[in-house]
This record gives sequence, structure tokens and C-alpha cells, in this order.
Amino acid sequence: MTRISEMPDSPAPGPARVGIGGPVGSGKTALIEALIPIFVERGVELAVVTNDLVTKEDARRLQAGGLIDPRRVVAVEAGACPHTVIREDPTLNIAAADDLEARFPGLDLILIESGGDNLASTFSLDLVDWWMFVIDVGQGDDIPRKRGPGIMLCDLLVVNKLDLAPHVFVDAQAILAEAREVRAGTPVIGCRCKGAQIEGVAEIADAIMRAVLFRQVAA
Amino acid sequence: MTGETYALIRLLQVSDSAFPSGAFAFSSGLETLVNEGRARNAADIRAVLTGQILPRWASFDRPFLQAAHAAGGDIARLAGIDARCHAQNSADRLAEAARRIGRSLLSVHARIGTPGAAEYRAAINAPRLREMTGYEPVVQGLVGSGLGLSVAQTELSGLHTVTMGFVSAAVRLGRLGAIEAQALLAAASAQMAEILETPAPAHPGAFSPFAEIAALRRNTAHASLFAT
Repeated sequence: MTRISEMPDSPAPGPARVGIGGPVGSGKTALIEALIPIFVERGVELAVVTNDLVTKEDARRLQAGGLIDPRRVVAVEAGACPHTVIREDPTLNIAAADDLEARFPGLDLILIESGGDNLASTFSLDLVDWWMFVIDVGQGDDIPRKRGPGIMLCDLLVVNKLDLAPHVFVDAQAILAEAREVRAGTPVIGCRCKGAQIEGVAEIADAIMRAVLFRQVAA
Repeated sequence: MTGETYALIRLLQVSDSAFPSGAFAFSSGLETLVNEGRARNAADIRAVLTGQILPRWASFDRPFLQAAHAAGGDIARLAGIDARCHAQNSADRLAEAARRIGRSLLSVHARIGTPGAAEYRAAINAPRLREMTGYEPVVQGLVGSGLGLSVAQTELSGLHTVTMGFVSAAVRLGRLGAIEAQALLAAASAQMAEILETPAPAHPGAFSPFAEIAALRRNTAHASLFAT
């Protein structure tokens, strides 16, 4: 069987492309905002593609945040189909990433944030090299055991907003344990991206750097 | 296996809405018409399709598609056709949409090895050409020729694609039910056949102001689902 990577006109190796998917409000954009300073400090040249469902809110938020050159953030309209634009027909996102790659030749990494979706959301490997799925404790402690392709198939499951657990009457550690159990040992990281006490974000950056940037990261 | 059967199988493949081209993210001005209350129901959608979208394809896109098919992969001729399409495309939002879809289509065909696609993609990849080449009907003509489709089959594919894209957008905008959409497609079939059985105009030109102005009027400051 001919693999896609062996077909004619396969793109030359360029910046790694990492997908960030997950339900609406789970903290995908906040996670990117927390990751950017870490990557900057580590000398990783970065750009971002956002896929808002209706507006360009996420792109504008990142562009206005002062963390990254606004020209390195582009928005792709999802045509009311957040699944489609990252999976069945990712061509607009591929074109956006190609365009960033052409405009910024030194890029190491392009983060592609999906529009807020549901647990069935997955990324096409035509579009990304590796992807993570972000859920949060506020969605309920049964989210991991609902499984769903997003939770089961991602390279890294992120459980966000750990600090909110007591306020929504769930046990964060139990959610993490159940997530690790349903994923049968594939990576799960708990995090909090905002507030005085940031947690887990550096570990997520480590995971990306090990997986797709092939850089040594201290254990 | 006959060549004709093979061509039909490839025709079905490239005309299927599952074939990736990014076209699902464009509504040809319909989103603005819906947001402004000018397109509210199946009858309104049908009027826009039959009065604006299909005639625009017949008089504007079709001659470029035919010319690109006849170019048979000749890159200089294709670039000339693209340049004329760019010069005549007066609605910039629709022009940008046609380039984005065309370039996505070209990229996919280059990746799956459709003859001529990788060569033309490389030829128009220079930054100065990105805003003026890669129009959808030109790429469709090139691809049809490369796949061994007749010009009639390539036209059929092009018209089907634009029609399905528009109707699919109407369904997602909530102004057309999924079953109503099939009734609308059945009702529009006779006009589509008539278009394909009538010679294309010698010179491309478009007059579909209702949809074109709606696409131009799209307010990017407000929430929108589609890129046009």
C-alpha cells in the first residue's frame, strides 16, 4: 500500500504542526496563552492557527495579548463545521499553516486550535503531526468515562482547571485517575493555565518538545 | 475495465462532497442574505440558486473551466487563463473564495498524484502569484484534463460542486431542511441540464448582483460562520 507520505508532492519537513482540540470553554486558548511564554523562553519559533466557530475571537485575543507577533496568528473560518475543518476537509487549515510557513521560514512549531466541539472531535493526521485534547473538571467528573474519540485517540489528554474542582463538587485526582485508566496508560496531564499558581503547563510544553521537536527535555 | 468506466469512477470521486477542497466554508453571499432577512426559506434559497448562483457559474466560471481543460496541462496557457479570470473577477470576496478553494483543490490533487497538478501548483506558488492565480474553475479544468475526463464531464463536476456547496451552506444556515435540500436539487436539475446542454458564452461575464453584492457586504466585524 502506498502511504500518503510517499506520494508525490509530499511536503518537505517543516515546522511541526500540533493540534489542540476540545469542547467549548475547556480552555484551549488559555492553554495556548500559557504555553507561548514557555516556548519563547525555550527559543521555539511559534505561530498559531485558530478555528473559531463563528467569530475570530480567539485569533484576536491572541493577537491582542502581546505574547506573540500578531502576524503569526491567523484565523480560519470553520463554515459551521468544526469537525470538518480539522478532519474530513482540513485543506483550509493546511493552507493557513503553509502560508505561515512561507511567511516565517524559521518556524519550529505551528499550533492549530480547533473550534470548540464535542467529545467526538479528532484531528486528521494530514493536518497535524500530533494532537492533544483539552477537557476541564467543570464539565463533570464523568467526562473521561464517556470516552469519545477525542479523549481516546489524542496523543495527550489535558484535564484543565484543576483548581475549580472543589467549586463544582468533583474530585480532580479521581478524574485524572479515571482518565489514565480509560486511556490505558497513554499520556494524561492535569493543569491550570490561569491565576497565581500555574500548574502542568511546562509539562505539556515538555511533551510537545519531546514528541515533535525532538528536543531533550529534563525528566 | 473500460476507459469510460474508469473516468466515471474518478468523476464521482472528485465531485463528491467528501473530496476535500475547503468549499464547505463558503456560502457565496448567502450568509449575509440570511442574516439580513433576505433569504428566509426554501423558496428564497431556490430563487438565489436558480437566479444567481447557477447563472453566474454558467456565464463566468464555465468558459474558464472549458479553456483550462483545453489547455491540457500547458502551464503557460493555464497561467494566462488564470490571469484573465483574475482580471475579470470584479467581486473580490468571491474572487478570494475561488482562489482559496482552487488552491486547496490543487494541493489535494498534487498530493494524490493527479497528472499536471503538482507542476501547476509549483508554477503558481511564488508569493507574487498567490493573490492572482489558482482560481477554482481553472483548477477544475486542469484536473479534469489530467484525470482523462471529457470537458462535458468536467463541466458536470464543476456545476455539481458549486450547487452542492451552496445548498449545503443553506442547510447549515438553518434555512433549508436536509430533505428540502434534496427536493430543491431535484427541482434545479432541469436548469442545470439546460445550462450544460447550451454552448458556453464565447466570453466570460457575470451578472448576479444580488449574491455578489451580498458577498461584498459581508461584515467581518460581526459573527459569521462562512468566509463569504
